[in-house]
Amino acid sequence: MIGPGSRHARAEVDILDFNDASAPEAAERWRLEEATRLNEYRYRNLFQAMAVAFWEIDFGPMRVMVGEAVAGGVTDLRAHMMENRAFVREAMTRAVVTDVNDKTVMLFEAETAEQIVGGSVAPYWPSSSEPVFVEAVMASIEKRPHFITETRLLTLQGNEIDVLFTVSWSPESRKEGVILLGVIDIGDRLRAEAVVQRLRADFAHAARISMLGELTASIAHEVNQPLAAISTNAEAALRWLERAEPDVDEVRAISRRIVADARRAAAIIERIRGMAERRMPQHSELSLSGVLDDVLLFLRHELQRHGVEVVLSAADLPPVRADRTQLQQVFVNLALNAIHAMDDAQVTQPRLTILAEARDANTVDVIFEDSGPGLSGDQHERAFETFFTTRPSGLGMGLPICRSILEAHGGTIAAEEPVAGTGARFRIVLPRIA
Amino acid sequence: MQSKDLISIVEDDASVRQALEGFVRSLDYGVRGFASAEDYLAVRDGRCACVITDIQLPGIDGLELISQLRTLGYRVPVIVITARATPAIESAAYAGGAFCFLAKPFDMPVLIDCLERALAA
Repeated sequence: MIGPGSRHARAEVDILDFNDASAPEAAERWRLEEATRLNEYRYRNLFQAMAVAFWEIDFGPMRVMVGEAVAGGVTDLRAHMMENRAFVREAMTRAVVTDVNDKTVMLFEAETAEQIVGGSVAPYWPSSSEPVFVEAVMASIEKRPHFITETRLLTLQGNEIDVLFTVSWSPESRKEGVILLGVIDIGDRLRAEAVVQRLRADFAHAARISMLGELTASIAHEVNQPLAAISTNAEAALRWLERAEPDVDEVRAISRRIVADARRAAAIIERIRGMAERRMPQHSELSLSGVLDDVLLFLRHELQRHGVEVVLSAADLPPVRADRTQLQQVFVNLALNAIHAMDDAQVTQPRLTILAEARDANTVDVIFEDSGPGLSGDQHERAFETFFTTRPSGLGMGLPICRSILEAHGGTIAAEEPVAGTGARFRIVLPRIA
Repeated sequence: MQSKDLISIVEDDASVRQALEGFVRSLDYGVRGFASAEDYLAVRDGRCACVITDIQLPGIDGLELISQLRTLGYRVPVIVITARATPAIESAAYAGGAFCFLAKPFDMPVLIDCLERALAA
């Protein structure tokens, strides 16, 4: 049966199955119980020996309660449970623990198994994890063979732990109303992932600071220009005021220019501070052309100082989801590499072409191509190796960090053959917002 | 002070150029601003009494500007200013025929003194 009503119809069928044990089914169940008894020793061994916290749960009473709700007219059970958390808490108290292994006792900070066995599962579910419990109940009712998810559970001492929560149902267990839960502690893994993320952010930050260091001369110039304009304007204003007949109109116009120059200086410092800031990445919806414009503004003087002509084509682009600072960092890094490569090779007409386009429905490409000497064959991949550099003063960290940043954004970067001339060409591919 | 001598300012940064124009005007000179050496060279109407130019310019730079003016036979005094002053650039500027060499940031009285000497020369 296919359609919006199918899920609820199946819920009713399941309840009927459970209450209607016909004679052949009883015989079949006896046979299975025999087999289970034969395997009891092996099962117990596994139950105790594995590094998984196992729980045997009698969920029969809970299923009766859910069945009553369906019989009482609840059509959308999932929505009913999500809206009635008291119902969910009550259902939890009816799921009774019949056995746990030693790993469960340890993980859930109990003294003995007896502290857990005989009680319900309710104490182990924080309210924030209730939707996961609801989903597990729905999985059971919809007869999905497995249910696996990451969630947080509570120990008896009230500590929240990160776990991988797994349930599997066999047809027999469904009939008996007994299920086996496996709970795996993933706190260490999540903590390790958090450390990796922090390290990654720290490396990206270190690379930004290093880039700012290379740009010191340009940055000083960019900040000094508006400051020089301000002091020159102020000197001129004083002269107009010191005249026998002070020229108020001139002073007014000058004051406006001073305000504009002060704002310009503040904006430059704000851009630098954004690059210098050390923080975890924050993904937001960004306009790629806006980010590229900012990057060219940031590098305006550096490009001009090296006489680099910039050709930018970045119109009609879909938005991307990214951390603005890190994306700027990648673009600034590629542009600086191009500037330095062309400078080192004393290219007579240095040119940086930036081409951004949405090539298909899922991705946006950004291409950086310069008119420098380019990369030789084996350098295409080696350029992304840590500590590989073609420059005497290079650290060889820029491109590996660019790749790491882009991979964390679900994107890629690769060097490819130039289209025009012999320069270096890099292609960045970023996922579009779905 | 001679009134209404025409001073040309060649500076690519718009706000610095405007500020210098305003300052020179407050000294009671006439003033014309140019964003590039090319723009300045395109005019060449012989009315310019003194040029104030940045050394770092896109395209033709300040020192090249002096050289081209001299090649064209113009003797107009040129005051060069730069944010990246080194002894090498300074001697290159004077060897190329600059009247004054000013390192940014400079005090306005220094510029006034240069201007007055250039116009008196």
